[in-house]
Amino acid sequence: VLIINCAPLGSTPFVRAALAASQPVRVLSYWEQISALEVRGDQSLLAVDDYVVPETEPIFFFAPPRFASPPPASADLDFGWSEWNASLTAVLSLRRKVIPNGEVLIFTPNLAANPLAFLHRFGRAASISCRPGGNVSAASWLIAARSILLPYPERMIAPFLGKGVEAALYNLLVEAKLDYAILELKNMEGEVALTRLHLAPPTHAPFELHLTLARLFGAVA
Amino acid sequence: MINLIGFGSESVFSYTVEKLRQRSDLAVVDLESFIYDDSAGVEYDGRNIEVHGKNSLSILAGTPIYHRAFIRKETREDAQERLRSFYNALVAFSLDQGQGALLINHPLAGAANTSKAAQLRLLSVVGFLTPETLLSTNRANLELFCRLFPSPISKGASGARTIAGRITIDDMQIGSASQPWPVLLQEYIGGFDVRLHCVGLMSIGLQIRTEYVDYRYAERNGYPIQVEPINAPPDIMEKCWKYMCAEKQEFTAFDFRVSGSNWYLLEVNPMPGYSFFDKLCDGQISKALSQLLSQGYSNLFRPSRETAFVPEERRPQVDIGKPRRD
Repeated sequence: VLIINCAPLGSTPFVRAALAASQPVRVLSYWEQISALEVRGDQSLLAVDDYVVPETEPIFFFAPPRFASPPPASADLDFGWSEWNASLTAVLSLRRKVIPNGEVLIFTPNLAANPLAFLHRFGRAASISCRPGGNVSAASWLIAARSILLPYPERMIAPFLGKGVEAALYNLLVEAKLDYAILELKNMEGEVALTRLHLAPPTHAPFELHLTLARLFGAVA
Repeated sequence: MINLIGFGSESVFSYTVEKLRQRSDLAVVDLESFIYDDSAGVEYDGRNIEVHGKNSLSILAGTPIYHRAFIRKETREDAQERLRSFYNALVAFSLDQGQGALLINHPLAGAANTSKAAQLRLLSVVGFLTPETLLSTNRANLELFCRLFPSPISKGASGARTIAGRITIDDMQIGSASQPWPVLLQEYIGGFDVRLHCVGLMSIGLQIRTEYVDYRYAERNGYPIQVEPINAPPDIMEKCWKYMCAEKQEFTAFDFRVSGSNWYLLEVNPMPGYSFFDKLCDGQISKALSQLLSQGYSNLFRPSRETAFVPEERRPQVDIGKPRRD
C-alpha cells in the first residue's frame, strides 16, 4: 500500500492510523520522496526512492486542495506544485486504465475541489442556497450529498450509518468511479441528515472518520 | 435573453461583450461587482439563479449562457468564496437545464486542461494523432528522448501558461534546485500551426506560419506571422465533435501542427481565449458565437426528437392504377 500524502508525515490522523496498521504501508510526503515519475504513451511509472511501484500496488493519493499546507513561498513553488499535481494526475490516470477493477485509489485536488463535478451523473441536483454570511462551501457539499440520496428516499430514515447510507455511498463509488468517499451524517430525531460529503479526506475530519477510511482502505484490520 | 457571465476587467470577456453589444437581448453579469460586495449572495431554487446584493439580477431557466470566469489566487478569500458559491449554483443550474440547453464554456470543462499528459491520452483515445510525448523526472530517459527526437518541444505539464520552446540536452536542468519538478518533452513536428475554433457545429480554422516556435509570442519577439484560413479535413472534424460531445464542450479551440497530410493535435483549449484569433479572421468566431447564442440551444448535445422510423401517417397508400395496355 502506497500513500502519497501532501501533509507532513504523521501530521494527519489517517496517516497515523495507516502507519499503525499491521499491513505494510509506505507513506510519501507528496513529491519530496518520489524519485522517478514518468508518462510515455499509455505507460506510466512511479518510483519511490529506488523502489518502482508495481502497477498492482494500491495507491492512496491524498492531496488536499492546492496550498492547503504549506503556503507557497514563491512563484516558482506555485508553478512547481501545479506541475507535480498535473504529472501525478497523468501517472495515476494511466494506472487506473490498466487496473479496471479499482485496485488503485485516486484522489486529485481537481476532482476534490468541486463535488458537483463528480455528481453530474446523478441527475438533477437539489436546490442550492448561499446567503451572505453563510458557509457556502458547506452548502455545496450538502447539496452534492443530497443529490446522491435523492434516488433513495426511503433510505433517509435508515438508522445512523445503516445499510441505506451504505447503499447510497456504494452508488456514488460505482457511478463516479471512486474507491470511496465519506458522508458526514447527523441523527436528527430518528432521521439521518447528511451534513457533509468528502470525496477526499480532509485533514480536520474526526479521527473516527479516518479510522473508518483506513478500514475501508484495508490498511487497518 | 442571452446571459454573458464573467469579469468585466478580463480581456476576452470584455471583448465578447463588446462584439455582442449591439444586441438588445443581452444581460451582462459582471462577477467583479458581485464577489466584492459584502452583502451579495446567490440562490438557486432548482430553476433560476438569483443574485442579490447591490446589483440584483436573475438568470432564468432556459436562457442561453456564455460564461468565462476563473478563481484567481490573488483574489481575497471572501471574494473567492462568493465566486465558488456562484460557480456551484451555475453548475447545478446547468445540470437541471438538460443536455440541450446552451452553456458556452461550461464551468466543469476547464478540468480537462489541468494535466497535459492526461489530456493527450484522452485525445489519442478519441483517435487524434498526437506527437510522441515524455513526462519524466528521469534525466537519462529525457536525454534518450532528445536523441530519438532531436530538439524536442518543452512546455509546462499543467494548466499554467508557459511559452513552448525547443530545447537540447544541455538546456535541461533536471534535479537542479531551480527546476525540481517533472519535465514534459514533445516531439517537434515540422510544418505549420492550425488553430481550429469549433463553435457548436461551426468551425473556423486558421493556419499560422512563423519562424518562432510558439506563434503566440512571435510578434513580440520580432518574428512576423502569416495567417490564412484553412478548412480541416472531414475526419478531423468528426474527431473534434466526438471529443466535444464526450467532454460536453460547446466551444473548443484545437491546436494542431500540420505536417504533410498529417494533423497532429498538440492540445485542446476547453475555454478558448479567442479574441486574438477573432481579429485575424474578421470576427468570424464572435459571429459564430453570436449565432449560436441566438439559436439558444446546442446542436451537439440536443436530444433527438425526430422519429427514427417512418410512422403510419407517412406511408400513404400507393395507387398503382391499372396496367397500361397500349
